[in-house]
Amino acid sequence: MPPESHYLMVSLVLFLVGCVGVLARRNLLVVLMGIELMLNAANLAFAAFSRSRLLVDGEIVVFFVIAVAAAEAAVGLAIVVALYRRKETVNLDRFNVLHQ
Amino acid sequence: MSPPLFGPDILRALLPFIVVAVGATLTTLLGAWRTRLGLAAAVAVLAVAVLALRGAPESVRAWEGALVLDRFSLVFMALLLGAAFFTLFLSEPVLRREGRVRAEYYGLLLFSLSGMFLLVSTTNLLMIFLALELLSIPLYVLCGYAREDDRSIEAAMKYFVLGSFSSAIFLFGAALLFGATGTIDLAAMHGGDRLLGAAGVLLLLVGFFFKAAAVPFHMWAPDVYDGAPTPIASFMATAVKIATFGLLLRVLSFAFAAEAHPAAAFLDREAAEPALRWIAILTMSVGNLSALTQNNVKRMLAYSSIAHAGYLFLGLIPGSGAVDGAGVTYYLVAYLFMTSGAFAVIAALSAREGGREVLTVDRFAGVGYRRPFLGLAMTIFLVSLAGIPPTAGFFGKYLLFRGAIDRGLTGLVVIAVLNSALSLYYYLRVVVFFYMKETDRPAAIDDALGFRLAMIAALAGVLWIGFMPDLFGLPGIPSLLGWVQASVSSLP
Repeated sequence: MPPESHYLMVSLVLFLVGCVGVLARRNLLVVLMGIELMLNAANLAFAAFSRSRLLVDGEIVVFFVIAVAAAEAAVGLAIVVALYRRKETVNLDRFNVLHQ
Repeated sequence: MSPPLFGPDILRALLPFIVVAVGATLTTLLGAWRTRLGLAAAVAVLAVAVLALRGAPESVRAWEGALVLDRFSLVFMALLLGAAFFTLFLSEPVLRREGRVRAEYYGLLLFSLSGMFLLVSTTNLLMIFLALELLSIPLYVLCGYAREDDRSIEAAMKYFVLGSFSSAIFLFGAALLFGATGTIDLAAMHGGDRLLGAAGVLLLLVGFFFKAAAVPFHMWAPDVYDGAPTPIASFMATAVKIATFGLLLRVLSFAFAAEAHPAAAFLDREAAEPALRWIAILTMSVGNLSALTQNNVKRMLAYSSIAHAGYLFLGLIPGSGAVDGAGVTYYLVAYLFMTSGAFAVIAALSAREGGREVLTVDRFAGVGYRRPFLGLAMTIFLVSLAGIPPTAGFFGKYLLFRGAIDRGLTGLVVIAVLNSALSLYYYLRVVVFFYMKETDRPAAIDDALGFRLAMIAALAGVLWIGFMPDLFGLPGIPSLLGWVQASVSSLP
């Protein structure tokens, strides 16, 4: 089995890719994917640490996170649908009625 | 010997959570059957929750810190219940006025409340994550509740993106912290890998600061408060803030009590303190300076709630002593009353015109004469928010600032006092419009009973604390200050 640090590296890269997706992309669906990537990066780290330390805690966390991510995606996609119905686009920059 | 996994004590400790969570489900079902029953069911659930809180044991710790019921969590749960009652008062007339009385509203509100309950009564990272999400997901929906309104749905989108982004950051921090220490119970963490632990704590706190809308993680708050329905904005400004500060207090008091509790040494005090100082200074200054230029009163209140978070951060900096739990909690009590009251007034004035709310301050000209009680109430809430005696806001600030001076944070207190003076301008500006200006397009005023009840309750709280700062200091009734001090004694 590869050492723990390899898993940590992969999860760090996943986390950063997700972060960039949320911050730099303007399409709401891509932003949603970025958030999912970040959650899964955390899952990978939890599972890897759990495995290398022979603890079960991290693996339990992963199950909960998967369930919560599904609930979050359901609400997120509902918001995407509601936005699309209003303006026929999911580009974040087109939603700008709230400002000064 | 390990503690028992289950027992009568644990069951009684779980009762408040069960009542609110099961009550949320029942409220949704009843509301789907008969829409009118939604509000009645929600009030009944909150009433039963009060009883469950009164009967709850005061020191239960179970399941690796996943359930920690002490006096601290009980006090915060009582505050959260208060915030929920205020929100119910405001919700009913607003929903009715806008023709949006639907089954799911009250259920979602209660689900969010159950998340907040969990958030203030746990030290377990998994439980904190679940509680944060249980708190946030119903709120994303509630923000976009007026879904024909562009502003509401945009607020939901912004809150969703930044809320789930911050949850993900928190979770990754939790994963790193677990890797560093080998446990997910904050109270049981030992030293371990320092670099990993420090990175974990950093991400963890960034996640919390997003939720608390601390500068520089505050960008979402004004837009979201502005676009969300007014009762929900009020719920976010009061309940969410109370819950996050409850969590921050618990986490930071563990972190900074490292000398007394070597098991909890996972935060580098040398690095954390200057960072917290800067966040306190930035949060209050940016909040106040941005509020100065706002014409929209709801946005002004959003920035003001950011500024108040800044004052609260003063209490989270240990300085030469420890985290000032009593000061923060007392301030939150005062903050709950004055902010709920101000939002109740805004809700009464926020009838839609042509599908959108018009809340610019010039529309409120002359309101003070048209409705003397409403004008007087708003004046008192704003004076209290600015921190002028004899109101709750003054004594909240007094306790926080005096505590900070005692811990050697005089420079910070000077900045905070200057900020309070600055805030006087934009709070009193609203009062000036209420009494001293005229307009040919006066705002519509909604005299619904719910708004009045909320205003009267908030007014009673603000004045009672203001005139008798050691509130409830009557024979046989414990004083507020004593109650607050006793509650934080269960923190490390």
